[in-house]
Amino acid sequence: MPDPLMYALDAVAYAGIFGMLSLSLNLEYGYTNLANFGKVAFFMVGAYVAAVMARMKYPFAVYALVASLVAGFIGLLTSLPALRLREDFLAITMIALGEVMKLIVKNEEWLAGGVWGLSGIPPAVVVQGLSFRERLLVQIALIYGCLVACYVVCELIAKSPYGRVLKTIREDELLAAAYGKNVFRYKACTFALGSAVSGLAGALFAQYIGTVSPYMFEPTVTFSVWMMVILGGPANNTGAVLGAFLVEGFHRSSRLLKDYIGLPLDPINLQVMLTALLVITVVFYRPQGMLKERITPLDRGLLKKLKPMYRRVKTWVRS
Amino acid sequence: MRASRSLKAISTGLALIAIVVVAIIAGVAGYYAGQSAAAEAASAAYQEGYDAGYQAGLADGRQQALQEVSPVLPSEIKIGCIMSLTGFLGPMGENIVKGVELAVNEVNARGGIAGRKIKLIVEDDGTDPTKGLEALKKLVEVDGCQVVIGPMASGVLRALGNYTNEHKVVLISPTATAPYITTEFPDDYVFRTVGSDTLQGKALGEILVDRGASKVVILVIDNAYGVGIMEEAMKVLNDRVVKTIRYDPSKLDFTTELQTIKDLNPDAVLYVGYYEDGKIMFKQALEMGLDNILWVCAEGVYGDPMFEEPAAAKFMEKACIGTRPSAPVGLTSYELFRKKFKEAYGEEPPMYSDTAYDATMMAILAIAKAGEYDGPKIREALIDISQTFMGATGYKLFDENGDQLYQVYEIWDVVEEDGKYKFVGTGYWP
Repeated sequence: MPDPLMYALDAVAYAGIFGMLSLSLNLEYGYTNLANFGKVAFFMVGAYVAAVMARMKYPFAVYALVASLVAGFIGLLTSLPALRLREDFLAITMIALGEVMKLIVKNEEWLAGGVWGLSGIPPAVVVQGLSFRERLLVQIALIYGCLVACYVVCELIAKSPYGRVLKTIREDELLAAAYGKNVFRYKACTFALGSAVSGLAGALFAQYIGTVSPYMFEPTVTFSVWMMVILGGPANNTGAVLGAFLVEGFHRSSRLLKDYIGLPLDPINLQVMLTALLVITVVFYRPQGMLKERITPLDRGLLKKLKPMYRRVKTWVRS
Repeated sequence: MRASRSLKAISTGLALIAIVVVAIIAGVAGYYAGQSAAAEAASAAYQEGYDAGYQAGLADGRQQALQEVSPVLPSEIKIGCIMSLTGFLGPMGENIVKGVELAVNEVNARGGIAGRKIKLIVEDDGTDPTKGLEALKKLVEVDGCQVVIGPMASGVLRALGNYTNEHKVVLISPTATAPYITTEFPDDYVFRTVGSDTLQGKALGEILVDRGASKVVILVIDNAYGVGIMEEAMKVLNDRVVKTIRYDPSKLDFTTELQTIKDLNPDAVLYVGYYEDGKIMFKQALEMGLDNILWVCAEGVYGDPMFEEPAAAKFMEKACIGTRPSAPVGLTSYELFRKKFKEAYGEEPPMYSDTAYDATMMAILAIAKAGEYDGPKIREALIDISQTFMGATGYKLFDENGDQLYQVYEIWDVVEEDGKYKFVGTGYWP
C-alpha cells in the first residue's frame, strides 16, 4: 500500500547521513579552506569497512568505530603528501584519490567483492517483529544520534581555540605560521578528523542500504556534498546540515513533482539544470550561503553548567 | 547594532522556516491534488468505456465480469518502471522504455485490465544503485506500485533485491543479465525476461572456438556485466586466453589497453562494452590497425547509436561480429511485435525493447490473472503465466530462481550498404 510518509522519512534518513558528510566537509573547507574533492573516497572506505565487518557479525558500535578510524587513518596518510599542494592542486589530487580508491575496490576482488560489491549487510539494530515504519524510525534515531554527536564535536572544535587557529589558517596561512602554529599539523589533523566523520557516515550508509558496490561511490557524491556546504553556508555547522536537507529535498521533490507537472523538457535534465542554476545563483548573490558564518564564542553559561557534570563523571570513572 | 543584527538573524530564520513550510504544504497539496485528479480521470475514462459497452448491449456481461474478476482491483492500475535514462546506460534506456510503453498502450487501447486503465510511471536510476533504490522506494511508497519493470543494470538490480523481497513487490528486469542475480535472489520476487549471461558467455566462448581462435584477449568493461561474461567465457576458452583486461569506461581513452592487445598479437578479442565507450574503443582500435583481428562482441554494442561515430562503424564492419539475445528464428510473435513497434515509433525495435515489451505484458497478464493488485498474488500468477506465455522473444518459462530457462542468441555482423551501415544476423546460438 502506498505510504508517502515512508518516502519522506527515507529522505530524512538520507539527509542525516549526508548531513554528516556535509559537516565533515565544512570542517575541512569551511573552517580550514581545504578543498577536499575526494570526499567520496572516505565515505566509501567507511561503507566498505562497515560492510565487511557487519557481514562478519560484528556489532554496530565496533564496526562504526573501526570504519571511522580506518577512514581517518587513510585521511591522515593522504594528507601527508597532499597538503603540501596548493588549493587547486589539492582539489585535483583528491578527485584522483577518489577514483583510485574506487578502482582498487573494483579490481581487488578478494578484498570486497570487486565489481559485484557486497550485499546482505544486516541493519545495525535488529529488533524482531517491527513494522517497516518502526524499523525506519529506529534507523533514523541511530543516524540522528550520530549526526548530533558529530555536530556537537564540530561545533566544539569550531568554537575552541583550535577552531580559531583553523580559521586563521583559512584567512592567512603565513599569519598562522608567524604566530608559531604548525600549520601543516593542524591541517593534517583536521583532514583526518573530517575523514573519520565521513567514514562514520559511510558505515551508517552501508547498514542502511544493505548493499555496497563501487558504482554507488561516483564523484557525483562528492559534488552533491559540496553543493550542500555551499548552499547551506560554509563555516556554519547548522548551515551545512541545512544544506544537506535542502539538496536532498530538492532531489526528492523534483522526482515527485515531475509526475504532476507536464513539462516540455525532460524532467531529469531539468533537475540537473536547475541544480546548477541554484548553485550559481547562491554563489553570485549569497556567497556566504543560506546561513552566514557567525563569530560567537562558545556559550559560557552552558559550559559552566556542563563543567561540574564533567567533573562528577570524571571522579565517578576514577573511583 | 546588536539588536538589529539579531533581528536580522531572526528574520532570516523566519524566512527560511516560511520557505520550508510553504514547500511542505505545496508538496502535500500537490500530491493529494494529483492523486484525486488522476483518480477522477481514471473513473471518467472507465465511465466512458462502460457507457460504450452498455450501448453495445454488453451491460450485464461486462458488469458481472467486473464484479467477479476484480472486486478489489484499484480504479487505476499502476505499473512502475525503473530505467537508466541518464548515466552510462542512458542511450539504451529510452529505447527500452518504448517497449514498455508499447505494451501498456496496447492493453489500454483495448480497455485495460478488467476495465481499469494502466498507468505507467517511469523513473530514472542514472545507472546508480543508490538512485535506483530511491526510485523504487518512490514507486512503492508514494505511488503504491506492486509491479515494477526494471532496472536495467545488474548492479542496480542487486541493490534493489532485498527491498523488493521485504516489501513483496514484483520486479521484472528485461535486461539485467549478470549470472549472480540467480544465486543472490533465488526463489523470490526478482524475475528477468532475458537469459543469464551464463549462456551468453558460453555462446561467445564457443563462437571463438569455432572460428579457430587460439590466442584470445578478453577485453571487458569493469562492471558486473563485463566481468560476468568474462568469467563464463573463460570456462569455455580456458588456456586459449592470453590476457584479460578490464577497462574503466569513464576514462574515454583506451590507447593503453589497445597497445597491450597489439603487443600480444592475438587471433581474436572478446569485447564487452557499452555504446559510449565502445565508440571510442573501436575508433581508436581502427587508428591503431587492430582491425585485422577478429573482435567478438556482446550485445552492449549492438545498436545504431554505434554508427554515430563513422570510424567505429567502419571498424565494426571490418572486424566485429557478436551475439545478442533475440527471439528464435522466424518467430511469428516477434514479427507481430516488430510490426506494432514500427507502426508506433516508425523504426525497427531497438535492442531490448522486445524483452521489455514481454516483461510488461507478463506483468499485465499476471495482474489480470491475480485479479487483485497485490504483490504476492501477482508473483504467483506471474509464475503460472510464464509456463504458457509466448512473447515477442519466445517462451519466457521461469525456473525456480525466476530466471528464464531458455535463450537464443543471434550472431550478428555489420555490413555496409550504399554508404550506410547496418547489423545483420548471420546465425544463431545454440
